[in-house]
Amino acid sequence: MEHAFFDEYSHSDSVIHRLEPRVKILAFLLCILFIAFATGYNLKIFVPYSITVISLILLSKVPVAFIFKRVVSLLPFILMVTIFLPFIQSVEGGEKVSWGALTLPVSYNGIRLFVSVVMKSCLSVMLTTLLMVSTDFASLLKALEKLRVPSLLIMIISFMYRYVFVLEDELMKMRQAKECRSVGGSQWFHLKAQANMLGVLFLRAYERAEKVYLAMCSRGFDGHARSIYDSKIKTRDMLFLVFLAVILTLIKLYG
Amino acid sequence: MHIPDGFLSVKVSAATWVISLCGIALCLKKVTARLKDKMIPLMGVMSAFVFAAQMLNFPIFAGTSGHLLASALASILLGPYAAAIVMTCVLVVQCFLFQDGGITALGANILNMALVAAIGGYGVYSIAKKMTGIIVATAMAAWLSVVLASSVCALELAASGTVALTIVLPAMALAHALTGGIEAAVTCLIINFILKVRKDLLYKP
Amino acid sequence: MAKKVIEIQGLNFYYPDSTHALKNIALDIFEGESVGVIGPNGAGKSTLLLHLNGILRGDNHIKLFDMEISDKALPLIRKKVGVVFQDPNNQLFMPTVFDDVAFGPLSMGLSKDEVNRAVNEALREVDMLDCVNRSSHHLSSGQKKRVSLATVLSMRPDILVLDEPSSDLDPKHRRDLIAILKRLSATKIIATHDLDLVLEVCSRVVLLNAGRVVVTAAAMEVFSNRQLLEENDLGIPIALCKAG
Repeated sequence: MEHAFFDEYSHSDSVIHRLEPRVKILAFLLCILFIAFATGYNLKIFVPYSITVISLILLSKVPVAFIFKRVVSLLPFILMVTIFLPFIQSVEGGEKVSWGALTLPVSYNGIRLFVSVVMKSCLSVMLTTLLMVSTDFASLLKALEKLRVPSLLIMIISFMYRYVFVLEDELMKMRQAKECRSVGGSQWFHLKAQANMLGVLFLRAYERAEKVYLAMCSRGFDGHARSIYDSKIKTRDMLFLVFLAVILTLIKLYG
Repeated sequence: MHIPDGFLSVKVSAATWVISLCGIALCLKKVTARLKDKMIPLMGVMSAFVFAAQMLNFPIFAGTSGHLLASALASILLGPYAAAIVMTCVLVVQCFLFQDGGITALGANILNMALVAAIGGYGVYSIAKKMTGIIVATAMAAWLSVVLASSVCALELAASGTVALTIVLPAMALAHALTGGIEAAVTCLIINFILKVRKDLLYKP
Repeated sequence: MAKKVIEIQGLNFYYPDSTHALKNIALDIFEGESVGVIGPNGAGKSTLLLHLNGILRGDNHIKLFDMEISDKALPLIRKKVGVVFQDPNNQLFMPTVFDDVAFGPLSMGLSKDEVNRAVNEALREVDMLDCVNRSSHHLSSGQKKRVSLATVLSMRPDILVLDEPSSDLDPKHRRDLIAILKRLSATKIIATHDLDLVLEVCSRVVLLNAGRVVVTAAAMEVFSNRQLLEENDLGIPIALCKAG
């Protein structure tokens, strides 16, 4: 399993890349909060929000096309769950769309809600993608720990990230070996085979966890996770955060 | 079943976040007490396992395929609280790394797929186990975990005013009653395998 | 007279399924030695190695630096005896190379500066300093093996225990590893199938079979005894094979 596309841009240099990770997380979170909780059916507000998001992308020097591609790949899933919204949001007695003599079973409010939800999801995906692409995962985890996420969870996630590739490789090798011996067989036959592979993967994962535990003990592990955190928040980081907060507030008040 | 950003109201998002945080804190305490210093490597590698398991495509019929939620599987193997933690970590990574589920909705997603599915699933399993065998209990737990999780999801969407309850609840519950069948079948096959090879690894309360 | 650093007398160990894995092992290791532990698969090499830092505790007839192995002594033992496991994937469990190599020193309670120094020195010894900020899963297996070694070297152990250090290495990386091992001054105990490595790095050899010490003698003495090697299902170092 490759995460090459994330690592590709995570070590570039830009205003966004140079932001201290904690400040970056808070800044992006702030944006997402403002956007995700924008109230009402006012669609005009998404114009300034979109401009803000695109400005952040441009500042980061990550290709806009790259971020857009990510959104497009997730669009089918977003649409799948939202496509019915125009048809059923008649609860608030919104006006139905009429075309000449034809009244369609869609309401204007329904359409507005649909567009609003889709915009929120898309912009939020763009922000999250940008955050992940402009920060390497290890720094992100350390920043989250400094932001008071329980260090136990952080360590578990760190281990998870470390071993996901190892397990995926093992699974892939098992599947390849299975393909080499598959001439025919029913769906159920293959389903059983895959389920067995997961069973084997579980056992191997469990035994690996035991060995990792021994390796940790051999290096003095006593149950406490320790790490060095080097990053310092500079004035320019705080200025960025404040500036962004002001812009978002202005958009919310006057959008 | 991952809810993206923009579907939940502020109140529902905040409420589910609070419930999930409390739930996770409780689970962390319980699991640390039981596993002690082995907790980090075991939970970490198990989370990687669930993540890898969720990526596997299970062919259903006519070219369609489904994926495993694995909450019930995790809880039968690791116990309810450890499973909840494992699922939480998987959801967090999916949210950030794959934008699968929004950050504001993460609280709700954790509530549905980690707390309700894993702990609820285990509850069903442990009660059913006394009456029927392990495999039947597994099937029931797996099926119900999916249906329950999706029902709570529907409630959250309705409470946010995004969709009417009378529409979303039957829709979600029905759709997941069907996919729950795959979950039940695959989970049973895996548990059956483990019972044969290393029975000692099933969770003992 | 060199100091005795490890003293094992009458060590027995049983697996949970009651297999008698180690039978009455007696062994002395002296300071600065390089000892090769050889034997067929299942002989008990890895099991014996895991006793040397208290991971496994047989009937406890082991003394390290004249110290009995007890729960209280474990932190000190783990500092003095560094074990490098066979599969580097089990040894590298942190997000970056720096974090993995820093893990040991951090657990020892060293200051930030001391940790940085320890990490840099350890990575320099294995020629992996330029990979310090990379994540482990992006490294090749040769690189992973070297970083694994560094994760233990950063703790400056007096005794270095290695389980199959050259397995899965291509010829170039294997030669690099042998060069590194020869440079290290710590007491070394190496369990391996790679008899040529033993010939190059180790002065003494312990031959294990079916849980027993068959013989312990100078490397050349053991390797020139063809009958002994055959009886114990071992090959001959390639370097000692004569043409024809």
